[in-house]
Amino acid sequence: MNHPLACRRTARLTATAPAPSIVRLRPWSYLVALILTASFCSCTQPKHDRLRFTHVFDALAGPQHALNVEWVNNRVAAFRKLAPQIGVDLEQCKWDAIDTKCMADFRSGIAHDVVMSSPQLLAKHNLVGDLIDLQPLLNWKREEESEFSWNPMWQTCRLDGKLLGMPMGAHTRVCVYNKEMFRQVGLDPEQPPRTLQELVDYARKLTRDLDGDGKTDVWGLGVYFGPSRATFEISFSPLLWHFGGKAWDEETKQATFACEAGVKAVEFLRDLIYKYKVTPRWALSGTYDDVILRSFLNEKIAIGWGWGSYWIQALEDAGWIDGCSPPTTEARTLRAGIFLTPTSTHSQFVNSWTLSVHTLTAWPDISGQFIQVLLEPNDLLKSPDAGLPSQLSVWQRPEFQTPFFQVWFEAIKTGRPMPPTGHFEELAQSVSTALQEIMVKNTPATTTLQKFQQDYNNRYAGE
Amino acid sequence: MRLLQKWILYIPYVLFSLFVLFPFFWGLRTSLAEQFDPRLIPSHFTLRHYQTLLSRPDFFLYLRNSLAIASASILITLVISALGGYALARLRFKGKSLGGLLLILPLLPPVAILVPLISYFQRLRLYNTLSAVIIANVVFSLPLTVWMMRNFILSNPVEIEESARIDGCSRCRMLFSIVLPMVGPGLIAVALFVFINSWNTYLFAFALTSSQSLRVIPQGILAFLGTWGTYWGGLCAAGILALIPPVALFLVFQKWFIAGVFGYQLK
Amino acid sequence: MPKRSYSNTAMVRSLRGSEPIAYAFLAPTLLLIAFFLISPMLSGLFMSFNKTSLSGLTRFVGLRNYQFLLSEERFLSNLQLSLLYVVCNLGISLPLAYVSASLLTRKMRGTVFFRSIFLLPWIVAPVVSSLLFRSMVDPAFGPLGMLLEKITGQQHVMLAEPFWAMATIIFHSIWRSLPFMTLFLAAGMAMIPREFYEAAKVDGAGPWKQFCTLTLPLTKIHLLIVLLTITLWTLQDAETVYALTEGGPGYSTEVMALRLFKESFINFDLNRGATLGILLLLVGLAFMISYARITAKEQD
Repeated sequence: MNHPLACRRTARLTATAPAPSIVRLRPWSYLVALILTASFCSCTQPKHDRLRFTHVFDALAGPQHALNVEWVNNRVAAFRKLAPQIGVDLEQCKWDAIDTKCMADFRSGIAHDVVMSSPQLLAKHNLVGDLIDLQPLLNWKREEESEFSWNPMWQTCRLDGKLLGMPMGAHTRVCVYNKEMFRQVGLDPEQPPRTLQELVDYARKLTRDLDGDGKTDVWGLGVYFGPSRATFEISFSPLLWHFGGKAWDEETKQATFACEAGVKAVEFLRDLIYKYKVTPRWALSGTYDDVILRSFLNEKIAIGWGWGSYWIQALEDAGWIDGCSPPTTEARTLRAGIFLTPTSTHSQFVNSWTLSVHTLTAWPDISGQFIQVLLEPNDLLKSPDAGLPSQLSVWQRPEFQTPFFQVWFEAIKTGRPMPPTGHFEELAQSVSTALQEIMVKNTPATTTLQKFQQDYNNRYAGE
Repeated sequence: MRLLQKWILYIPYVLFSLFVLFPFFWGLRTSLAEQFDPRLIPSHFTLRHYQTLLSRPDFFLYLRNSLAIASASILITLVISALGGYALARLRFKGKSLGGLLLILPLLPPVAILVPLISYFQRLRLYNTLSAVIIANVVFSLPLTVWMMRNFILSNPVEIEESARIDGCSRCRMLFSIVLPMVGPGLIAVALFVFINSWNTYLFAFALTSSQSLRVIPQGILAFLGTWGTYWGGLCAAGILALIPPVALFLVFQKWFIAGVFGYQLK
Repeated sequence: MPKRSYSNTAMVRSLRGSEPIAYAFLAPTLLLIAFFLISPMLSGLFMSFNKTSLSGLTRFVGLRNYQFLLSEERFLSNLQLSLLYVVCNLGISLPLAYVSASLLTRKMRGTVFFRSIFLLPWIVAPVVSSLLFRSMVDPAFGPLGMLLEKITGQQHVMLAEPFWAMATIIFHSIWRSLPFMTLFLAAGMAMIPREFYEAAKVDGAGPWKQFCTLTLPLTKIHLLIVLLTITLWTLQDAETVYALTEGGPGYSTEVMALRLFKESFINFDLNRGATLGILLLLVGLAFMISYARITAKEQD
């Protein structure tokens, strides 16, 4: 073998005096160490000398998201024209992690400037203290407030006298129905149900076994009961409000979802699956869009409860409505129609994305300017995720005066936000889990709800 | 009869392969079907999902970041674990028996350690850089890779090294010019192991970076789980595209990897 | 001659005992691990003894976090599910791995091709494979759901029933670990010379006895490594469980690792997350010690 000989020869050439083995490293290893150190040093954190905008859009995730990212880039370009002395750094986080990241970064001393957040979590942000009051930054005038305060969601943006988030748009939910199926069972497609009783009756007529194999092929009513917080927000809350209850009391700061109204709401939902048999069992798993969006488009459900305004494009793509996305004056419904949630209050959950400013921001005033650029209504219309307009003046335009959009307008006006508790996620988790236990394992409604309410209050009452 | 017997021997292989491959067939089918098509064999195929993915520059940005992180992690891990593994295998020093403690370190769940780690990196001014993700990948692979290198070096006959020692080779030079070439397959096995770990982990990039320009492929894949809907076609297409580099590497280095991890006998 | 004297000194030094260069070789490893693994863990241990309010006030509460978790019904269910997950995963895939390993050790054409295929479940990202499984058990059009319906005659919504949801999770992790285990054990088994088996057959030993007396003891190292890696991976697995069921109907598929992830990253309760991390570490240690005990006992 050559190696031992090579060692000997090289040893003769390089050996001088006996030296400790540690320093007898080859010259090239010093070079490698130098290169590695240099590359590490060059990879250090960029200085905070540009405005940071943290958003939730990933251009890769589909054509809709690409439009959102285009909107962001367009707004950044517009902002650069207004304030050319400062650059903009775009940061991105997944939509369900952005708020926690904001709070965790605040605790670790990591700074951000403009961030997107959700109104359900603004109460938690208020307690953590990682978002600042926007009123001084936006030169807020009282008259301007009516542009936004018509939306019930505005209540959650204002907490303790501070304005913590500016709504980018409005998302709400209505009930959608398949007009063709209405015709097939002899119901008038222009007369959707207006009360809960009518809804159940219609749904029973619409639940059919098409091929005679004993298994239901079309279900009358699709409601989502999966393990995510959409169950609490979209399925349970409207019924809780219908029966006169609320999930969390602002005076005592305690959960109250196990009240009589809550029990009635749960029993109504349970009856949909087991007594009236108008809702499929597979609504208990899967994702919200699987159970409502896809099933409706695949004609497995005739009426969909909690159809979101973010799915208008999907109906337009399927050809079931026309001229609605983007909104035109000829908006009309073809195969699918919408109606307000047929509860006594017609209330559904209303929310949106909100724009906020991080406490550790280096430029509060410039952040305020950037938010104003982002809220330009004409450009906001081009971002699918922004939703329906948040500003009242936009709703006065002719393309939003069509019957189709007036239903959505009513839905927003009668809508309600989620309770301003600092532990909203835990509340939503508790209720969704309680519902799953009741529906899947058939535990008694009253005791299960009370157990979960007690658990929640033991830990989080008061915040 | 003999021919039939030979073909029968293939049956377990084929069955096992079907078991292994059926989710991939499903993924391929979903990535080529229209978005809301519920049938098992879709009515018509479309390349639209792949087109949307590849037409955006972002996909190549994520790919570049993932590759950069993976290659840097591999280089650094190889160097450090070669040194450490050699020390544990051949050198005598006080405390050598504590080397077994290295096997306990993988028990630490990364999720639990991540939160304090974020403040460390912030204090080191490395938060929101690729270096942070690289260091995290290296550190979490180190215990196992050092142990693997130790085993590979141990499985080599020690006589060659002893004779080199007698001829006056320094430990350092011996490591780099004698031992490492002999454990070539082992090095490749370690490199592929680190590559797979850093290619597939979402956790470190998610926690330690926020810039749009530093995103990696797993984050890109999870982005398809949108706020109000999942874009399944794109998700499956992205998953399949993300599979191509590791599979290509494995096909090229397969012989050495199998030899390195599973022993030289399995030819 | 100077060269000789150097090498003599070195050799003498190495023969006598420790070589200080070892510390230099191990320094990068030890420094990185101490700084980036051990000290965050100690910091996590410290956090588990505190409680931080949302506004940032931290106070020392001693073992109260641990007391709370250990007496909580949900946590006990988490612990049970984690143990069930590990035991079922190993209990089903280990015998299957041995069986398929024995079928695959024959030398045939195309083994190279098959071996690359078998590595695929390990190569694919856990997120991607769990989402694929999730779409496959979809009640609307997932093939696995339809298959189950044909077998049992009833329509099951797999992810909405606690039993079937856990079964899906376990099936997914078996799918991921079985090929890897098979290859590993096959390597171990290939090292056993055929003569041993032939001698055993001559002695009249049936296949089960051959397995107990020959295969098992001689592949012990491989078995131990496989047990350790798969246990570790299963215990720490929050990603795939989250992608498949998000904790399942109620809390019926919420394993400890998932609970940790939810508490730390969704509920922003870092102290409870740290406590769960320490408890998860202890469970892992318990598994490790029992494996060491079992294999050591068999040696006697």
